[in-house]
Amino acid sequence: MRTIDELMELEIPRITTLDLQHLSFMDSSGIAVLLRAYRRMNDSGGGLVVRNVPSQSLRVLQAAGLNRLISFC
Amino acid sequence: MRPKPDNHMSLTFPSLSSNEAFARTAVACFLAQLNPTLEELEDVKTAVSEAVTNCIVHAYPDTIGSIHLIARVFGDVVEVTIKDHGAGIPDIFPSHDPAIYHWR
Repeated sequence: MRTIDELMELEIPRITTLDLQHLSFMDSSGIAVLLRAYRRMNDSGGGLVVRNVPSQSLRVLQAAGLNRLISFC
Repeated sequence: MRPKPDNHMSLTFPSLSSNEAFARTAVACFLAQLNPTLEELEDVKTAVSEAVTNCIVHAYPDTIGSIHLIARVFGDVVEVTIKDHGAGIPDIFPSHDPAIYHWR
């Protein structure tokens, strides 16, 4: 999360895209990271896109209802 | 009377974050004998990871303690028990309320 925070500070993006293709596993700590990135982008009027979500991560995110908040592709 | 398991294993490890991945992978390896689907494997790994993380974060917040993982097979069912000897939950009922969310 610190790396995402640092990059957002540096780039001040309008849209942040997180590519999860190399993510081997996600649990609730991953949900916290995504939620924090989403809130940060939302607060600055920007958007968050999460792409290449592996199946295990997608089920965890869907179980947490994050698919209602964040665009996954 | 409780039936005897067809197979079982137990692990004890310190409450280090690096052991979260070890615990879920170890259970996945043990579970392989039941020929689970990929989805079943992933779901078990998720559950184990959450339970072990709970021990690391909440049972031993300021110290390193022992976490015990026991897996038993009964037919085509696996039962995983994860135990700690750390701080308990003084009032269990609020922890069941999804509106009360604590993130670290």
